[in-house]
Amino acid sequence: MFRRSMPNARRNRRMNRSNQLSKAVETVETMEESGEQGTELVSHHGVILKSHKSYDCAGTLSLMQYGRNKYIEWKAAEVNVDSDTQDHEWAVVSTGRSSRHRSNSECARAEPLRLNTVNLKSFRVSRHRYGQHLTFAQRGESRSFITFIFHQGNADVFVKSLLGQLKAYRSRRDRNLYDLAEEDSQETQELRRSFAELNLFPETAPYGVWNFIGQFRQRPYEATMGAFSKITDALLYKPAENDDSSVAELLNNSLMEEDAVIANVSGEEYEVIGSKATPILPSRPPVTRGAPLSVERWAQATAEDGRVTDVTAIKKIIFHGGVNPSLRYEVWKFLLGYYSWNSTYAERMCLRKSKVEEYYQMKQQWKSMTPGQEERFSDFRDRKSLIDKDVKRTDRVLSFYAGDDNPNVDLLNSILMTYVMYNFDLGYVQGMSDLLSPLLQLMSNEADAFWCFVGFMDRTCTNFDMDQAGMKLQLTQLHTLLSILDPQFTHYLDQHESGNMFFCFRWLLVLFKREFTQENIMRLWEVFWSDLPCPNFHLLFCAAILDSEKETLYANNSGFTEILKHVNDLSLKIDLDSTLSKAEGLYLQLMNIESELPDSVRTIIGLEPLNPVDGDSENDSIEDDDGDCSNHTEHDSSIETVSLGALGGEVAFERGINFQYM
Amino acid sequence: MSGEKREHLYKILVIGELGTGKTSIIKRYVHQFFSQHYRATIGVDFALKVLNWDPATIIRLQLWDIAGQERFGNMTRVYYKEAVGAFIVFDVTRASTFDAVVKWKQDLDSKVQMADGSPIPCVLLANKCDQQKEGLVNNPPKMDEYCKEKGFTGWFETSAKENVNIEEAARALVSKILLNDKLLHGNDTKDPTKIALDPNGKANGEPPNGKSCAC
Repeated sequence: MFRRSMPNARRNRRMNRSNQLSKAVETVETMEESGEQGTELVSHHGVILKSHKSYDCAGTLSLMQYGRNKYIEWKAAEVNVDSDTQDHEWAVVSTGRSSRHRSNSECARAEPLRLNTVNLKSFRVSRHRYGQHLTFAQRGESRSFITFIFHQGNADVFVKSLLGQLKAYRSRRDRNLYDLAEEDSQETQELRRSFAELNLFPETAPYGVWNFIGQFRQRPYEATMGAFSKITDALLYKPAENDDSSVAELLNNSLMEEDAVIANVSGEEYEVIGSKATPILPSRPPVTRGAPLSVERWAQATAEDGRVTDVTAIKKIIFHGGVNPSLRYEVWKFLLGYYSWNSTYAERMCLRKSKVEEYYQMKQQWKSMTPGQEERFSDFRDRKSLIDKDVKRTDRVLSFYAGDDNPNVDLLNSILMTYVMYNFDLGYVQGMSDLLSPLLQLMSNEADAFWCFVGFMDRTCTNFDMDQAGMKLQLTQLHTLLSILDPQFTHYLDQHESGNMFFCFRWLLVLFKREFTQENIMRLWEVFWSDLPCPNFHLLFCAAILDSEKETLYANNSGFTEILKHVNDLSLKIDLDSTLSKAEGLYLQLMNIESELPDSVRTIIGLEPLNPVDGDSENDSIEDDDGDCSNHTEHDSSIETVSLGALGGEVAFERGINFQYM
Repeated sequence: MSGEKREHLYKILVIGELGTGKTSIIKRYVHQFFSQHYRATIGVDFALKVLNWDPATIIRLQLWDIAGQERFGNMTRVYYKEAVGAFIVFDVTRASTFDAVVKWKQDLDSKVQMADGSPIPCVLLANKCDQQKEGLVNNPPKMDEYCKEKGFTGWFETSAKENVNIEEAARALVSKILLNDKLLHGNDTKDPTKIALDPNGKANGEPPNGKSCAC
């Protein structure tokens, strides 16, 4: 499931290509078998050597001192030698042809890598979807590069430590680039000589580049994802003065021809290519809230016989301003589907009569259960006990439910028990009493509150799925939306083990019930129930809250626990109207670039997918639930993949549980 | 160590069936306060308790209050990681919540371990002991045996309402965590297998720190 976005067949194909190409471009500096004990100066775990392209193969990147020299050293944490690791070649990328080949069995082992810092010219940090990249450039004419991916942690910390240990200067032209001071000691010269003797780079740089591109053009299908990233690193990434711009351009052009592959390479320096996958949002239009649906307007929309005309306009008013509290008692019955908009007074009276009867009939069923029956009916007993536990602690601070022997608490209990009889399979799940509480407070009448609750549950029952599939889907969808609305923040969350969005669990489970006062939750819910402007508007509402909080999270560099705590502590501190405005603004932003939105986003907000599933070709297989199979590049699907990556960063048990739905 | 204060931050899980009083225990412990009307926890809540353990040691306990309904289990397990200790809470008035203790313990042990692979220290809390008890909890020697068998550090009858034994239970858990810390860190030169064995041996060999309360 971990590689869901990359079906096996395709993956294997890529790996085969990878092996072929690894023979074409690589040079290796093996670890000397000196057996010398070094001193660890700096180290960082969970760092991936980029050529591995596998999240399973993280290692430790350290700065080591051996004798008088300092070395950048990388060691794989643990390597499983199986078919999946056959692409574990590692390589210092050079632009020349390799004079040495590695067999597959060699590739299966991720050997440690050691780079003498005197041979390093510079290093650069860059942000990518998959984490931060730290790239070292070697000295000399070879222009070889090696990149490490900081998937779990922050490369900045490592860099800071490096700066404490190495003589390095931040480049004036590129603030992410650090030039290393040259110490042309005797050793350096010796090492250079030994490099030269190895004859790894038979041709001088520019020719080497051209030569390689020539090869690439002749054999495009032997190119691989991994190799592409190496090539682009080597050519597009310009550490200092660079006269290869024409080469880079040429490469860009040739890469364009293969865009299915390239989209993998995302990040600022690949803007030309990356812009294809992540549409740029226009600025957010200002949105103002409207006045609530007034008594006059409602009367105007109600025909003589009681039918509600103008439903579309009424819903629009509700979306923009809610409902006047004095009208809620009536309007909510329509919004929740208890009454149909098209019904007459007479029909509604008739319907209500039968619904009330039906309610009491179902109520009678659990009321008349004898102790003996209950004794032998554990499923019933369990549900009853859960309800009993929860109603006693639902909104007891509100005057409506306060105090001992409050009859409204008994009503809450009765309605939930009756709902168990109405939908025994769903039964009672924690959170339901929260959803019912405002309805009962508003309706007062037991039977009306029940049927409104039924309507509410029809909308939200997937929140209470036994396997939590509905919750997981929403969390994934929220991540998908965020990755378009705010890639930087999404990246931040992914980097901080929060790409699973679990910190929004409470928001979604009880639709923000715990985050707002009873008055405000009524307003928010009626806005949601207008079903405008699109499905899943509540996810945009989540995104709007997060948009207001992200600066705080950045400022504190909040991690998994802090994000969760911060979000939990927002309860009763969220401004409703401005957040609703912002959420609508986010929607308008998306609609402004409607045609550029990936299908994964389109389907969430109710737009037709541009590339519906064709469902037959095997190489398309499963891309994601939304059937977005047309652009199966890693980049497009990275919306899903990133969240997997983030989950993968957590303790191993998570995989077994949470990947099932991914 | 003279004059220098050592600080520890420990993540403690509080788990167990719905409505056993997890939130109440935490609020009592952290805020010295009890209410009948704490809301059901949805997802997870936090609380922080700072202990001046001894003149040289400050301990910060991060208490993770995790929703009890089984259905949310596969969502809330993500919060287990990096925990170094746990309370499993049951309600003495409902034997069914005691029956579920084994399930919670197994779940805990399978999801989080100490660095050496042994289970994290876990104290069993028999909560609401101010009320009529039901089941095995009425037989303390049997409970001792049960805890030994299931690998609990100890057990305590507690009452969040009457403030019974909660401090004591926390102290027992923290002692065990500190002991583990020492065993893990003080053993650098010894045979590595010893580290793995010690905590288990102690957990089984020693009588539980907790004595059941007399209420």
